[in-house]
Amino acid sequence: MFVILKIFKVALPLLYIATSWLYGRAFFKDDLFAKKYKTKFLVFTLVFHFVYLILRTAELNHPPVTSVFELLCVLGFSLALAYIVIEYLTKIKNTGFFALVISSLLVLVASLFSRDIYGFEYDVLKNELLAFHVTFALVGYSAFALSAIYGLLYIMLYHKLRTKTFDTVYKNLPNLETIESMLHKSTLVGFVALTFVIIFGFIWLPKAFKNFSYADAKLIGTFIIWLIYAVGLGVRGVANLTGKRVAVMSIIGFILVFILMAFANSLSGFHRFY
Amino acid sequence: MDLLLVGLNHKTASVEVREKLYYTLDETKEVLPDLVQRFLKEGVLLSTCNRTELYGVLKDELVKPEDVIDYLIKRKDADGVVTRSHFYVMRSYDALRHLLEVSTGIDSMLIGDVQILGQVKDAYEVAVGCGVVGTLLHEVFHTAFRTGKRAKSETAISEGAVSVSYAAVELAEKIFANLSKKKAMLIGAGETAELTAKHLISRGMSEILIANRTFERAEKLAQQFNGVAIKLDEIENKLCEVDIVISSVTIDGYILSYEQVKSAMSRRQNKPILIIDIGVPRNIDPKVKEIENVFLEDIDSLESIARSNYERRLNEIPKVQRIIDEEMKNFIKWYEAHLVAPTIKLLREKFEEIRRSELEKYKNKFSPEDFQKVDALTKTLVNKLLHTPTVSIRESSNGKSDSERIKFIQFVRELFGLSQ
Repeated sequence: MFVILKIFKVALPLLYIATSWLYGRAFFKDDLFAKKYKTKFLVFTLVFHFVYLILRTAELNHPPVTSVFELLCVLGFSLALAYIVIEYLTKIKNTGFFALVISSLLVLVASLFSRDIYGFEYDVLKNELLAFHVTFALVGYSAFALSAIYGLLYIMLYHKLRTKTFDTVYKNLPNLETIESMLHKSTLVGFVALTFVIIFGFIWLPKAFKNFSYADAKLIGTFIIWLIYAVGLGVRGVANLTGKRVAVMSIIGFILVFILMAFANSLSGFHRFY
Repeated sequence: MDLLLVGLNHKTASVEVREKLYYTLDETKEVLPDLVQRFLKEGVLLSTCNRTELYGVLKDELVKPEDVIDYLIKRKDADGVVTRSHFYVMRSYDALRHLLEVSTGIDSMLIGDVQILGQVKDAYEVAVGCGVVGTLLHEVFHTAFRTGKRAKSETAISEGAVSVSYAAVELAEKIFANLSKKKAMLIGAGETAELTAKHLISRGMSEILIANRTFERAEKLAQQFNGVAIKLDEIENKLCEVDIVISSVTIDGYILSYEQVKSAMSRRQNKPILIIDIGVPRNIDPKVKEIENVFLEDIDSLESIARSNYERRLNEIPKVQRIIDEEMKNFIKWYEAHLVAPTIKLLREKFEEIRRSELEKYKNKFSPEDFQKVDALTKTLVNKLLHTPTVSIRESSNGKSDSERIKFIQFVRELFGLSQ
C-alpha cells in the first residue's frame, strides 16, 4: 500500500504538468488535439488526485492537513477543482492554463517535500472545528489565486487591445467585462471564506493550544491579508474603480498573500506542525 | 454517375456577367420545369450573386451540355455579354465534389461564407417544389447539406468576422459582455459606420445616439435604427453616457480632443469605452489612447482583425477538404451499393445461404448419395427461381437514368431484405 502511495505521489505532479501543457497548447497554439482532450484530461487528473487523497488518508490514518506541504497538495486540488467548476459554469474553456500552472507548482512542491507519516503527530489536529477552519482556508486561498489569474488575463487582453495585437491569445480570451466580473466574484468568495477562517480559528485555537498567543506570526499574517482585501474591496467600492486598476490590485493582493504566508509559516511558533 | 454540372462563378465570370445570369428563386420556379422538360431528367438550379450553376441529369445522349448553357443565356437575353466560355462543365464525381465545395463555403468568394448553405437548400427546395428532383439528386444534395453542416460545426471555416463592420462588432464583444446593456454613439454616417450600427443592433444593442452635420440626415438614420438624433455640439456632453463611439465624419481637426475624452472618462467613473475612428482624416486625437480604459481603434485595427480571421479560415480549408473526402466516400459507397452487379451478387448469396442452412438441418436424414441429389436439386431450384429477378435487375440499367435504376434497386433490396 505504501508503495502505491509513493507511485501516486510521483505520478500526480506529472499529470498536472501534462494537463497544464495541454491547456497551454490550446490557449497559445489553438492545437486541435489539446482543445479536444484537455478538459477530459483535467477530469482524469482530478479523479486521480481525489483517489490519492482518500487512499492516503485511509493508509496514514490522518487527513492531509497536518503539514504545510500536505495542505499545498490539497490547495492545488481545490484550485483545479474551482477552475473546472468555473469552466463548466461559464463555458469559457480556454483560460485554464494559468490556474493549472499554479496547481502544478503546488502539487509538485507538495510531492517533493511532504513526508508520509502514519497517524497524528499532534493531538490538537483531531478536532472537528479544524475541518471547517482548513476547508475555508482552502476555498479562500484558491479564490484569491483565481482572482489574481483573472487579473493577469485582464491585463493581457487590455494590453493586446491597446497595442492592436489580434493574435491567437487575443482570440482565445473571454471579454474584459466577463473577466472583471469573475475577478470580483472570486475576490468576494475569497474574502468571505477568509473571514470564516479567522472566526473558526479564533474559536478553535484557544481550546487546542496551551502555548497559544495572539501575537503569533500566522495569526497576524492572516489578519493582515484579510485587512488588505477588506481595504481593496472597500476602495474599489467607494472610488468606483474598474478595469486595469482592479486587475493590478488583485495580482498585488495575491503576491502579498504569498509573501506573508511564507514569512508567517517560517516565523509561527505554535501554528506549525512539521 | 450521370450527374452533370454546368455553371459559372466568380472565378470564371465578372460581376457584369454574373448579374446578367442571376435567376431569382421566383424566376427559377418558372424556368426550371421548362429547362428540365427540354433537356433533363432531373435538375436543380442554384443561383446566387456569385454563381449560377445547374446540377442535373441529361435526358439522353443527344442532348449536349452546350444546349443547356445556350438555354440559360437565351432565357436571360444575355447574348453578347455571357458566352459559353464563361461556363465550366463537370461530370460525375467532379460535379459532386464541386457542389460539396460550394456548400462548405470553400468555393465562395469570401471563404467560409455562411449564407451559401442556406442558398443551396433554397435552390433544392424550389426544385423539389417543381417536382424535378429524382433519387440521385436527392442523395447528392443531402450529402451536400450534411457536408456543409459538418464543415461549419467541426471546423472554424466560418468563424470570426471577416468584414470590417463585423470586426468592429467583434471588437466591442471583446470588451463588453452584453451589448444589450450598452449604449453607442454614431458620429457621421459613412457606409461602414452604418453597417456597424446595424450589426450592433442585430447583436442586441438597444440604445444608439446619432450625430451628424446635417441634423435631418441624423434624424433619418435615427428613425432607421430606432435611435436618438443629436446635434454635433452635444457630442461632448453625451460622451460620458455611451460605451461605444463610431466616428466617420470628414472634418478638419479633431471632433474629440484629449481633454474632452479625459473629462468624459472621469464623469463616467472610468468605465471602459471603445472608440472606433474610421474617419479620413482621423476624427479623434490619437493621444486619447493614452487615457486609461479608453480603447481607441481605427480602420487599420478593424482590417487587421478581419485579415487575421480570414487567414485562420484559409488554414481550415484542408480540414474541410478532409470532410469532403469522407462524405464523397460515403456517397460512392451508397452509389455503388445501388449498382446492378453487387445487388445481383448479394441476392444470390442470400438465397444460397438460405439453401445451405436448410440443407444442413436435414443432412443426417439422407444417405450421402441422396444428400448429393438433394443438393443438386435445390441448387437448380434456386437458380431457376432467381433467373427472372436477375434478368430484370440487369436490365434496369439499360438505357435508364441513375435515378430510375437506383429506385428500382432500392425496391429490390427492400423486397428481398438485402442489407445495404
